[in-house]
Parts: sequence; structure tokens; C-alpha cells
Amino acid sequence: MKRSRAVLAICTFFFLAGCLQSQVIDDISLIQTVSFDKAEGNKLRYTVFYPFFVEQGKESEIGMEHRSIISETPEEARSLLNTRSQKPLRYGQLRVVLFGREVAEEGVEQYVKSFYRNPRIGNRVFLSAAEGSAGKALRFKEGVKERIGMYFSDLIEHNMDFENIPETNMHLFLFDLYSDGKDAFLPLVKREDNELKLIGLGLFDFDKMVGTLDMDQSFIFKLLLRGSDKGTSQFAIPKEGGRGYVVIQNIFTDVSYDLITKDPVPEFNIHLKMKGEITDHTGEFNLEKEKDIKKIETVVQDQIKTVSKNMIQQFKEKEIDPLGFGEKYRSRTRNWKQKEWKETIYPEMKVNVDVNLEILQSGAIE
Amino acid sequence: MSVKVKEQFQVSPVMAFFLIHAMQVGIGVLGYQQVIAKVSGYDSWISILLAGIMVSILISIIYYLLNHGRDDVIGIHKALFGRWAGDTLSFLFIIYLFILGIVVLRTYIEIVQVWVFEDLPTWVLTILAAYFLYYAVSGGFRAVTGLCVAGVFIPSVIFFILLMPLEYGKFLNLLPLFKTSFDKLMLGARESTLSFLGFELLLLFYPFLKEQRSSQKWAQIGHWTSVFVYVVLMIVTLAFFSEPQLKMTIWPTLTLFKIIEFPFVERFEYLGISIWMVIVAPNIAMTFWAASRGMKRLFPMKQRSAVIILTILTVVVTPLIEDRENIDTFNDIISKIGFWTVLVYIPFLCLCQFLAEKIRKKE
Repeated sequence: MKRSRAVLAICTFFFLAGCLQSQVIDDISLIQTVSFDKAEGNKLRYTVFYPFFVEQGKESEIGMEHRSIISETPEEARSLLNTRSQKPLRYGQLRVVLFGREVAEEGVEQYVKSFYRNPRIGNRVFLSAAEGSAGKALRFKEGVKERIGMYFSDLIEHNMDFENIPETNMHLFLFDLYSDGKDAFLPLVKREDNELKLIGLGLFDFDKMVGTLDMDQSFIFKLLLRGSDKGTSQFAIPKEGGRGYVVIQNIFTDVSYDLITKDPVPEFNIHLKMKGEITDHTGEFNLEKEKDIKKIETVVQDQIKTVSKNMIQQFKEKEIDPLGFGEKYRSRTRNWKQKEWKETIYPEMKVNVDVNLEILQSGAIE
Repeated sequence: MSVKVKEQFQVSPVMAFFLIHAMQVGIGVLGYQQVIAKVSGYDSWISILLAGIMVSILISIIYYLLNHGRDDVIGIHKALFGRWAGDTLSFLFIIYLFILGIVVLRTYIEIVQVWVFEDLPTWVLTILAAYFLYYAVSGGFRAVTGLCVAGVFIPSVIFFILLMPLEYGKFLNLLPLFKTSFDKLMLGARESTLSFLGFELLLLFYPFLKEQRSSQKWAQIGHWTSVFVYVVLMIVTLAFFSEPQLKMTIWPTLTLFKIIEFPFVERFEYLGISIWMVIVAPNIAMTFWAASRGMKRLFPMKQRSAVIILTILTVVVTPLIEDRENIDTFNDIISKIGFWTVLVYIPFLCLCQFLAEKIRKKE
């Protein structure tokens, strides 16, 4: 009795395991990058990039293929693409989604939602916008082409981790997109001389791209957004008979927002406490002298202050709030109304920026 | 006509902690946030606390009822309402428990289908689960309790892992506190009560506890542990999502899993869903055990044959609940029944018991 039951159990497991269609990794194509562009009518040109492994010939040789199709929704596009691909296409390893400028300006919500809906796609996928056509930005000649899948996501990742791009991924984008007190942004890329290049950030009003920041603004934007311990930027320092340049690497920055008054208009004080290192300069400065360091500090402080103020002014004119003043205001008020905030309070809001830069080191030589 | 359970089948009062906690924390944890947040927004965690207090009182009421009735609910029904009416009520309660078990199983299978194997037919997992459940439940109450203990300890690691999404947490979301109106908080509390359902099984397993009166302490600790888990997870969720984003996410806990990344596993949700089986299994096993126990007390049959009948019914019924809509309807109905049972029927029963005692004393 006992034995027969055990046999029955084992058989059940055995036979039931055969009920599923298995998907062997060698027999599917994993899409790494997807790009969206406008096509004729209301349709989209949809391009996918996936690696393929050469079956014969040199071992561990990897190629990159792309296919593009015109369709209305991403999922339909995938199924249409499957009619033309050697192996079934799957989204499991998707790394980057790139929206062409026209698509980004018309609104990306439905596409991002389609990726969010799909449980096969991770939430750490990078979304990005392209200056110009997205599909063309990624179509490279032999040599570069092979690496574009990992290359693109690594490019965004290391710039986010060590340089001037603020932290971003699909989850954060969706958070900002749907938040009633903050607007979203995405890294912006451009193709230049057969190279893919990050050129800054695209700013969104709900799901439509309405403005951009360049790399230097992005450096300061990153500091203002959450504080950071990364990023490098060059500043021009006026000097007798011209200007000198210093490169400052951010070591640690702390940012705090104080809402000092709510009536009649809200007024924010932003304190930016920054510790930096001079990694390079054009030679006019004596870094041993307290006076020169002080001077650099003051000038750079003022520059950061001006850029920040201009940037915030620019946000207000475009009626976007990527720094999340709304969120901060919401957490301090009991009668929060998004509409009222966006239409009357935000454009009137006052912001003071106060920068405190401390230069800690200047490298290994005098 | 109170029943006495032989001591060798009883479990120590500490086990009340595991039984209550394991029954409360189940499939609901994967998606309760959305339901509550739809009503009480960023103040949802307060709603959960309110519900926690309410349920804690209800547990005391159940203990009052059981301590005074000196029997499980079936005996109490019989003593209060007589044979026919009492047995009919007990039978309805058993049907409720059985359907509860099936709904939990089907919901879990749905999650596996949506998130892991989209082409998995429902009956495959049903048969596997039924086999396992039969095995567990036929081991008797002590085996099911053991399963509950494992179902509390093994997944407890997950609780700490679920703190990891705080990497993207924004506690600014939660401020200012109490911005939701009081009636909305109460409505949210009503939704939260559903997450705590499961403790009503106490009505059936009470005679299986040693030192029944002193087990209330452990039952309450078990309940408050659940409250703690629910509140902390809710706060993590609220900090992680923006409000409209949360409202469109069906399984926020799984979406939290999605953001977690380890060097050795890129997508943690697949692991999470698999481990969740360990949380769900004691849940279903307990309802089946309780249903079969009830059948044994009502009808002249052995508990083993009751289990066999239930298992066969499960295999037949579960695959019949087909799509998202059906599952949702079933979940809705069963949680409504559960809600009214614990919130209205149990206090009513307690009142009856109280009055009956008064009358008896006078006589």
C-alpha cells in the first residue's frame, strides 16, 4: 500500500512535468534593446535588437541583429516580428527602451504601461529618449553593432553610478510620471560620428517630453534632486587677462529643502552642502594658497547658484516640476489640490538657493 | 455534549501563535496594498492598525465564546440552536471553509500563471497541490500545525528581503499623517479586515489546544505579529510607489520583489513566488483540515474519508474557476462572507451564549 502510493506520487510528478512547453535558452532570441519611432499614420516603427550566437565557425562569436516593424502596440509588434525571425523573440532580458524624439513628445505612457504590465520585464529596465530618430541612433556598422545591446545599458548605468546622470529606471520613471507632485525625466542620447552619446536629460510633462537639460545642467540637477556623491563638472574662473578653468569632482553633496513660508506664496530654501576635489585646472591657480582656493570656491558657488536658479526658472516657465517641489509642499499641507498647485501656486513659488562648497583636496601634486 | 480530544492529538498553547499567524498571512499579502490604498490612500497603514485592534477584540470574543461553551463551534451551535438549526449553520460554516481553501489555491495558481508559466493548465498544479494537501491533512492536526510552524519560519527571511526596496523609498509620501478623512480610514479598515481573516478557524481547532484558556495570550501575539508584518510592508509599499501607480498595480508585493536584485539572481520575484507556496500551503491545509474535522463531527464518517472527498472535490472544482474575472468574483464573495461572519455572526453567537448562560442560571 505504502509503496504503491509512493510510485503513484513519483509518476504524477513525472508526467505532469511534461505538461509545460519548455523554452530552452539556446532556442530563443532575447531582445536587449527596443526602440520606438513615429511612422506614417498613427503607427509606430518599432525596432528590436537582439544578439545571436554563431552556430558554426569561430566559437563564442556573437552577432547583433535588428528587425523593425510598423505596428500599433509593442506586443503586437513582437508577434509580427516573430513571423520574420529565426527563433522566437522574448522580452526576458530587455535592458533599454529608447523613444525617438517625436514619440517622446507625443506621449509615452501607453508604451511604458505595456512594459509595466508584462511580468517578464524587470522594473530596472532603463528608459531613454533619443535626439532624433531612435532606430537610426542604434543602427551601427559592423564592429560597433555587435556590442550595442550591453553597450547601451552599461553606458547609462555607469553614467548613473559615477557621473552626471541621476538615478533612473522604469520604476522611478513610473513613480514620477504618476506622482501628483513631481514630473519625470529620462536620459537623452544622440548619435554622433558613429558613436552613441549621452547628451543630458529629457524633461517630461506627464508623459510628453517638453524640454532638455545638457550635461552640465544635469550635473547640478542631480545634486539638487537627491544629493549625490558622484559627478564631475568644469567651471570657468575669471582671471586677469582671460579665464582659467577648474574641474571639480563632487565627493559628497547633501541637499535639503526648507519650506520657510506658505503664505502668501510658498518659499523654499535649498541648502546645497558640497564637498569637492579639484581634479584638474588650466594652470593659473596656485592651489597651495588659501586665497586662490577661496576664490575658486566663491566663484563656483555663485555659478552653481545661478545655474540652479535659471534651471528652476526654466522649469516654472515650462510648468514642469522634475525636482518635486510639489511633493515637498504636499507633505506640509493638509488641503493639497494638485490642480491648484500646478496652475496657481507653483508658478508663483519662490526658491532661494544657498550653496556651500568646500574644496577638500587637489590631487597628488602642487 | 462537549468533545474531549485525546492529549496525544493536542498541541501546546504556544502553537496558537503559529496557527493564527500562519492562517492570517497568506495569499492576501501579495496584493492587499492596492485594495486598501484605493480607499484610504497614503494613510492606509493607519487603517490596518485600526483593523488590527478590531480583530484583536474579535479574537477575545471568540475566546469568550469558546471558553464558556467548552466546545468547538459545532458543539456550541448544537447547544444553542438545537440539532437541526445548529447543524445547518455548522454545515454552512464548513462549506465556507472549503471554498476559502479552494479560492486561496486558485488565486495562487493564477499568480503562477500570470508571473511564471503562462501556459500552465490549472489542473496540473491543482493535482500536485491536492496530492500534497491530502498527505498533509491525513497526518492529522499535529501534522498541519507542523506545516504552519514551517510556514512561519521558512518565509520569515522574505520579510527582511522585502525591506530592500526602501532603496527607492520616499517617506515624504506618508506625510502629512491623517490627511484621509476618518470615514475613509474606517472603510479602509474594513478592507484590511479581509487580510486578517483566517483566525476564525480557532472556532474549530480550539479543542486541540492544551491549556485552552491560556492560549489566548499566544493567539493575540500571533495576531499582532501579523499586524506588524502588514503595517511594515504597507509602509514600505507606500514609500515605494506613487499613489496612482500603486492603484494600478494588482500585486504590489510582487512588484516590490521585481526591483530586488542579487548578484546571483537578477529577478527575485520568481524565487519569491516559489517560496510563497510555503506560506500558502499551511493556509489551504488548515482550511481543509478544519472542513474535514467539521464533516466528521456532523456526519457519521471518518475524517480520512472526509479528506478524500474534499480532495476529489478540489481537483474537480478548482480548474472550473477560469479567468481573472471569475477568480476576482470568488475572492470578493468569499471575503464578504468572511467579513460578515467574523464581524457580525461571531459577536451574535457570543451574545447568544451569554444570554443562554443567564437563562440557565435563573432556572
